[in-house]
Parts: sequence; C-alpha cells; structure tokens
Amino acid sequence: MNNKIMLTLTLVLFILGLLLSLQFRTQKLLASSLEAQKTEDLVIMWRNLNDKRNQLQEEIAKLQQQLSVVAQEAEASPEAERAMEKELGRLEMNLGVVPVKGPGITVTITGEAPLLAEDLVDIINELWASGAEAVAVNEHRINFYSSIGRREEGNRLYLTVNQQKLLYPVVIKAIGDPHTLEKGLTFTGGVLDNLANLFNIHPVIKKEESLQLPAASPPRWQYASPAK
Amino acid sequence: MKKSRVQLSLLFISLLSGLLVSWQWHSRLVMAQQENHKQPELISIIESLEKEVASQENTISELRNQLENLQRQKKQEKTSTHELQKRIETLLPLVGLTPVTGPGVIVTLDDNTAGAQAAKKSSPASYRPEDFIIHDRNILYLVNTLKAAGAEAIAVNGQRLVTCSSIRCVGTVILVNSSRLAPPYEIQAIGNPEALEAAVQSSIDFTLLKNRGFPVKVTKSNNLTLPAYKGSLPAEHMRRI
Repeated sequence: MNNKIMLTLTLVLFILGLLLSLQFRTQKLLASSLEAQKTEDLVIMWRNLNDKRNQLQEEIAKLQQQLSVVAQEAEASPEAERAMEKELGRLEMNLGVVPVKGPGITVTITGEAPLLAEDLVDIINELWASGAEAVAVNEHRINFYSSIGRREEGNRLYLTVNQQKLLYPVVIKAIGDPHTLEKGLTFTGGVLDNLANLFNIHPVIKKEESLQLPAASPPRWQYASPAK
Repeated sequence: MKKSRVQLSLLFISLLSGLLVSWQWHSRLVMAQQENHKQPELISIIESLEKEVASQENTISELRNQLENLQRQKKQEKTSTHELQKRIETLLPLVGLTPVTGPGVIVTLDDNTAGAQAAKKSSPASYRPEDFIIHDRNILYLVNTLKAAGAEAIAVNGQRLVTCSSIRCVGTVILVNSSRLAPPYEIQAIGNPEALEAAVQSSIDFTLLKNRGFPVKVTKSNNLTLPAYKGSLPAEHMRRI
C-alpha cells in the first residue's frame, strides 16, 4: 500500500516537473518574440533598424569609393614603377656600372705595330661618334670617367686604361648597329685609314651578333656636387 | 495521521498541476491572440530589415578586408618606387644629367691668328692655315688628360661631356655632342685644381700649342658651374645582363 502511494507520488511529481519546464520555455519564447512586443516598441525597433540600415548603406558607399580610389592608384603605380626601372637601367648602362650585351663590332689590334694612347682615344671617340652605346677595351668598360694613358716599364711601353696596363691583343668591343659602327671606323680619311697609311697598323674589325661587356666600378665624386 | 498527510500532499500537488496546465494553456492562447492582433506587416518589415542589416554588416567587413589588403600592397609598392627614385637621383649627376658645381680649372684654347698673319706675310708659299687653328684632337686629348688627372665633370663651350660624347670636326667646324663650337674653346673641368692644372701644363698637346705661339692658358677656379647634358642616351641595341 505504502509502495503504491510512493509510486503514484513519483509519477505525479515527474509530470509536474515536465510541465514546469515546458511552461518556462513558453514564457521565454513569449518574452523575446516580436509578437509579444507592444506595438509602440515595434515601431521604435523599426525606426532604429531603419536608421541603422541607412548608416550602414552610407558606410558601404564610402568604403566602395575608397576602394575604387585605392584600386585605381594601385593599377597606375606598376606602370610608374616600370618606367622608373627603365630610366634607372638607362642610367646604369650609360654609366657602365652594369654589364650589358648586344650586337656590335670588335676591333682587334695585335702587338706587332704598337698603338699610341692617342690612337686608342681616337678609335673610342670615333665609336661614340658612330652611335656606339657601350664600349669596352679588353676587360675595361669605358665611360665618361675612363682615361687612356701610357706607362713605361723597363724598356717596354704599355697602353693603360684608368692607369691599368693593357696587354696585347687589344680587343675593343662596341655595342650598337654593327654596320654603322664599322662604317664609322673605315671611311676614307677615317681613324683606321690613318693608322694603316701612317703607321701600317691594320686592326681587324668583326661584326658580332652578340657581345658581352663587363661593368665598370661606380664612380665617386670628391670635388663635384650637383648644383642647386 | 500518516495517511492524511500523504493525502494532503497529493491534493496540493494535484492543485499545482492543474494550475500549471491551465497557465500553459493560457499562454498558448495569448500567443495565438497576439499573432492575430499585432500588425503582421510591421513584424515582417522588421524581420526583413534585420536580414538586410546583417547582410550589410557582412558586406562592410568584406570591403574593409579588401581595402586593408590593397593598402598593404600599395605601401610595399610605395617603398620600392621610393627606393628606385633614390637610386635614380644618385645616378643622374654622375651620368651628367644635372648641373654641377665645384673647384677645378678652365683651359682656354684659341686659334693662332697672330701667327697666321705673320706667316702669311713672311713666307706665303709655305703658309698652311691648318697649322694655326685648334683641331678637334687638341681638345680630345686634353679632355683625356683631364680625365686621367681625376676630372669629375667636364664641359667644352657649355657642352657637358657624358660617356657617349664625341669630339670631332666636320670641315673646320668642331662638333661636341653634335653641337657646333666656335673658337675660343673653353674647357671647364671640376676636380682637384692643382692636379688638373699640373696635368694640363705638362701635357704634350698643351706644351706644343704654347710653344707654337697659340694663345692658350689654364687657370684654376674655386667655383665652377657646369651645365647638364641635354642630349639623349642611346640604348637601342644594348640590354642589361
């Protein structure tokens, strides 16, 4: 008898618990659902949301505009950078501080009839005048700062480039239009004509499809400075 | 006694259950009523607004990410162009593309008109006018002498010399950077004035001209200003390796 009561009691309590939790859930749902709100609250919510939506729309427009400006600039700058790289390359090549390659001619002078420093200055000058873009003598790249000289050692006379001895054969490499460069040296009364007539020196000229010229070391100024 | 206490509890529990069941029922009823009575349009507007705002917020965070990425990328490019600009600015003067100042020497060479007139008078048969004018090679070799003595910048009659400059004559006209020059020729060179002067004085060309009566001189200067090279730097055939 006592057992039966206890069983009933347990069952009833269990159902009660279930009901309680169900009710709790329903109440919670009621409290947060829009349907449970008063109309004036709904209107406030609607107004707030409307304001927020407009603000966000403005923010999006601002961001999109910023983005398009930045994207445009980002698109233009690789071009500007390429142009600068090209400019830098031209300066470095002209100054001779980078190795270069290209078509041109070689002028080879053997030591049988020694050259004077002046002859070498003449040949290099004539190459520039004929449109040479880069010139090297043996392993020396020629630029504005290069000088040709002579030096006596024992009873031997050496040509020098930047005070460094030149050994024979002297090979002058010039990059440019091979035909124009050759014509510049070989015209009647030109540099090589004079060398042949006066000194019996016969440099060998060869047109080349691809020459490689070494780099000179970068010049440094001690006395000069850019004018303001 | 014992039985009545149990019964009392049971009664209480049953009462509570009944109350709860009716409350629950009531709540359901209220909910149903609300759905019928409150403005369904307002609710659906609010719900669609909420959705819209959520998607706007997504868009904004996406845009901010894109912007940040682009700006980071741009900053990297900016530093690399800045570096390029710096390297270009160091090279421009060394190549000869900016005006330059500094101490140095001025070498002045002029045709020997006095000598020419005297020679024409005294021995017209052996008179050769080319013996009394300055030639392109006089200038070319003196320029080479100045470079060997450490000249850092050179200009001839205002023509700044660069790597690809040439000095030559066509007929009796001297061309530098393809510009025609007329005597007197003035070579300005920036560098150590003493070293440059000594080199010119002891050079074969200067000595020969002087000995033959040409009006030539070399003077030191504390402050020379040379113009920039204005021609082109040809680079059609060569490429960097």
